[in-house]
Amino acid sequence: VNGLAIGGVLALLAAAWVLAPLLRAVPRRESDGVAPPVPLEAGFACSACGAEQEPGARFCASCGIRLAS
Amino acid sequence: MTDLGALSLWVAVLMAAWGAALSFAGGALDRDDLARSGARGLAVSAGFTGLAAFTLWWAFVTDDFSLQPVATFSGEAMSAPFKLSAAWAQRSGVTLLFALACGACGASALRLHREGNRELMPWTAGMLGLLLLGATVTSAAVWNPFVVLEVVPEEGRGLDPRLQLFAAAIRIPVLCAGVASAAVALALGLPAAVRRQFPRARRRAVGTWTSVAWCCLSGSVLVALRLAYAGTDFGSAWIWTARAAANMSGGLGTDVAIVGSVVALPAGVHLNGGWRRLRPAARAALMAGGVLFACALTATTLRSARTVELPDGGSVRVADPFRRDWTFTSQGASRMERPDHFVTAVALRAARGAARAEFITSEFREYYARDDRERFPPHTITGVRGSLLEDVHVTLLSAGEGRAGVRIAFVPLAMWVWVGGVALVIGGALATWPVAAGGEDVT
Repeated sequence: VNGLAIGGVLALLAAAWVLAPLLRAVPRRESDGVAPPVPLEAGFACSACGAEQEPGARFCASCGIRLAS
Repeated sequence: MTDLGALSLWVAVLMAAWGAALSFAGGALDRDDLARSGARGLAVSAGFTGLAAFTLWWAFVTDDFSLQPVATFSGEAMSAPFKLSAAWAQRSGVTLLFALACGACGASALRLHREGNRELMPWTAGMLGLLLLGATVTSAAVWNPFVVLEVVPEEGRGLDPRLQLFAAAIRIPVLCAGVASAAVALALGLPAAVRRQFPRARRRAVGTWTSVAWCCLSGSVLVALRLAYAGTDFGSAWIWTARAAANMSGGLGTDVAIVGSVVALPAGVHLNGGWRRLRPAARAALMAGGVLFACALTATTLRSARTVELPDGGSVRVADPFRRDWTFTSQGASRMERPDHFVTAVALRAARGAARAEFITSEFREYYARDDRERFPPHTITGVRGSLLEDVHVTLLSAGEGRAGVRIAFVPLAMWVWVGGVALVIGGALATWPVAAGGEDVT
């Protein structure tokens, strides 16, 4: 019983961690869910949440929205 | 702990399925959240596979004979390292070990190479998830190691003494690591090949895992060769007879290792810029190893063997393949009892010309349990005297009152196989490991 209890608790914790990216509220544009990038001096930023992005990023590292090319 | 292991295996199955499905979905729909959840699913699956393996090892170390594999392949008197290796003495343990290798290599690859490979990573994660799913499903549903016995024995049967060797203990883990590394290299390379995008980071990643796969696979082939060579009945035969080859392969595993090695080396070299751009050290090691290995394998066709019956103190003259005369003098056969087996041994004094004489001993071992029933199949330990030019083998065939039947065999250049094999492994690793400047991105 102890083994099953420990395994069950571990499985629940793991499931919560795995599901976490899906449960995060992702801001989306009403049109097509694609955010146009905002040019900065070095690189660009996500227009949905304002987070600075790496050059070449296709998704926002902060909110996960797809960045328009 | 047994319950925890069985539960962990099924959680690993579910998480691998989740990881594969979400990763493919993330790649197809360009959804980063799906891909991220899929990658986490794979990491969790690998973790729970590790937990299952840990509980199995724990059962072996603590002599939990309620588990069928522990009762069948372990015993209280065994040393701790061989209790651990007994876990993969049977099919269910090998399957779990392979799942662990796939999980560990896959999760490491996703963690190590996530930067610079983001676009293709969901497809890689999906392929690794499918591999892990297959391995964990097989381990959980087909060959589950967590089978509990209704009647718990007081003592385990123990591990076959032929498997209580360092080489036999490491062969399966090395083989599993090699196959898993090759699968990771394939999972990294295939999406890039389909998309026709080979950024530098991805080429380096594929090259690194190909190099690891080459080392492990070719190393496991060498270990299998060594086990076959030092085995009981090979004496003069070795790899040229069907029987020896079948014993060498030890099933499907070594065949996979041979094919994998044959594929891994050219693939790694190609990714590294082709044969012309090989490091000088790699080129030298590969050439030296190849020449030594080829010479040695060719020379073993000149092996010779002779079966003789010697009285105690009797001598026989035998010529080796180089036409040199050897004199073998029997020191007499003896029989002794050890804690769990009987030993019948014969020692021959081997002398050649003025060279210093050496004793070569061969043993016949019979293992019995407490109730005097045969515990393991009897087997013969061949005595080997190795030298750079040739190995001399003495195998005890029969022992009677004052007489012993032995087979005396000569295997030319046998040591060259090991030197050449090690040089090939090192040369291949140097040739396939990515160079510092990996060249331009290829699209």
